[in-house]
Amino acid sequence: MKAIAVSPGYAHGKVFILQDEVNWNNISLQTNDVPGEVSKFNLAIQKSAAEIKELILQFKGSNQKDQADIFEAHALMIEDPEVLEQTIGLVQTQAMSAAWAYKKTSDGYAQMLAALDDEYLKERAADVRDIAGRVLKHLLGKAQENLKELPLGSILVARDITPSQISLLDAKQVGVSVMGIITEMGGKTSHTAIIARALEIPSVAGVQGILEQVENGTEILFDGVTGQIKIQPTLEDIKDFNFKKNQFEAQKKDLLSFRRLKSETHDKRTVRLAANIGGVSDVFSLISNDAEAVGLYRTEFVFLDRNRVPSQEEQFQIYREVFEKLGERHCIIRTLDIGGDKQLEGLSMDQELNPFLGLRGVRLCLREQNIFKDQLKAILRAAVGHSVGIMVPMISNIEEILETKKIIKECQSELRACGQKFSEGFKFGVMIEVPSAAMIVDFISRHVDFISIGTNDLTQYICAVDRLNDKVEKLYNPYNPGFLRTMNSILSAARKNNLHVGICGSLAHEEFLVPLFIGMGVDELSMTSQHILQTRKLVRSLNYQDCQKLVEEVLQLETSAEIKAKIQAGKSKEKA
Amino acid sequence: MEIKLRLLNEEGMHARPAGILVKAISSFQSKVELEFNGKSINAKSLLSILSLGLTFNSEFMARAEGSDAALALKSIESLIQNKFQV
Repeated sequence: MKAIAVSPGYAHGKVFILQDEVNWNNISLQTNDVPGEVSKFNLAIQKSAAEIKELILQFKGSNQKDQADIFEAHALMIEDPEVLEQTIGLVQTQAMSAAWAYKKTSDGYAQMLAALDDEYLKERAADVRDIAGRVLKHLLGKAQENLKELPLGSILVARDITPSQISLLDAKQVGVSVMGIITEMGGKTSHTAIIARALEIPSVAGVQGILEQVENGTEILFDGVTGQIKIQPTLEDIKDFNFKKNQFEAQKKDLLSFRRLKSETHDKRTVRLAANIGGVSDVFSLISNDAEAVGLYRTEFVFLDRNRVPSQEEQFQIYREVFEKLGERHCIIRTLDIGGDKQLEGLSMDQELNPFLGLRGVRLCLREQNIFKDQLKAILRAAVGHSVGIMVPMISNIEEILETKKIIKECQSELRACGQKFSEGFKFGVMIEVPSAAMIVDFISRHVDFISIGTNDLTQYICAVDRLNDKVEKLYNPYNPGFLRTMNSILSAARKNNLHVGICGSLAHEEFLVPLFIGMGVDELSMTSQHILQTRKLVRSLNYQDCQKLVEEVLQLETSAEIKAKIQAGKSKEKA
Repeated sequence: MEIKLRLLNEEGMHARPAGILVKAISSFQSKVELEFNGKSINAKSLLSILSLGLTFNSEFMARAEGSDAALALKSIESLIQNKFQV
């Protein structure tokens, strides 16, 4: 069986089915004790409200503001006077049982919310259902399943697990009574998945039909890295599983020992290892993997998730929360990088024949200056008190840099005019991803504080190959000598002009390329958080002088095959 | 008595502003209702407020009946004007 891998790790244990669904066939629709039903209902509400308040206190106590906020909203919803009144009304006028009356009422509200146009409000329907489940458990005399007293070695299996349920688990239970979680519903980005990763509980989701195939106590194992599941595994399966599990854990343990170590070579050349993030949900992983900064905060998700242009105020709230969560860490935030192939409501963009050569990134922003200004203002306001770099994508000439700087000045004076606080101490930089910019890094250095090389687009533009086109995909090759020579020329120009230079494309953690980039003198490598520790391990195994020598040798080679062979030979010699 | 209002906070009537509104209105004795798109709801109910689906610039009516009706409407008006920054 295959599932969506949601939280990495290996779990082997006995099924424990979480029954969250009530069998409504067994619950009578009518009651002959109306006052008794009403007081039972009031008591169930009181108990549920008390539980929620307890959760809020716990989360506030441990500084988990996101979780506390979720349950603050639940607290108000659970005591909603309309819901209470309508439920009690149904009991009193129709002699309906409290459970049915409450189900009907809360289902009605969930449906009303789900039917709204606003994505955010739609999602609140799930909160209403979560609360209803909590109240019904009290009402039907089934106390909240006591997840604190699970049998040892349990793998939780459920149709879905709510944030309420998973929040009951204790970090101490992980690997003792809770080995893993399997759900029929859900995916990588649910609230529950986020909490599972935070608690490091291996977890898979989207496993349709699992509940029909297992019962309590069924032996099961799964691989939270690949999503592979085995029900009643054979000895062979278990052997194979244990082998992978040991490997995974040894690797994890080894990498964890690199936390809080410096990212420097033997001969003390330091490289800042930073994370690429798309929003506040990536910050937890950034901290647990000990990233030193954010080298690329992609803001396009703020726009694409909503499929519309968010207001300055909305953006301000979002950016501020990210900056606050990052604490002292420097954050490079990239202004809107969409266009061509990605459409956005409220922004009419024509179909283009060559979207990658079209109205993208800064080109679009300079045309749609209202959108650009709202974003810049939101960033400038959110950056107050934080260490922030503003980075502009798709720059291809000096004029675009000058115009952007002029617009930032305008934003500042407009903010000043309406008495808004904003940052004046931010850094300003550009992405180097267009060949015409790569050739004038010396000029660019006069106008910016830093640059960051976007290797994905740069490779694509240097090699003139669309990497989504499988007919030419092979030509998309970072070992292409022309590409590596370009990288070297960018980095040497930056070094000559004392310009801080980062690399934020997916090559930044490539085992064979990192030594080259370090040899060329890169200051910062920015990547997905999960690659940070292995890259730190790699950096600490290198010697800057050897890397410089390697660069010299590699730049003399004519073909990518020779280059690859040269670097790999160096690697294996090192290992031997 | 009733007043006409326009929602000024750009995020729309999400859980946070709606929660602030409910908490403020619940302290008044008066019956308070909001009306939008022909739908009229109890303003002391968070779920009812959310279900109106008020967004930035939505125009709606607030209606109050009772001894402290004027005060209740005033407090709604000032919350709206301050974009729920309390």
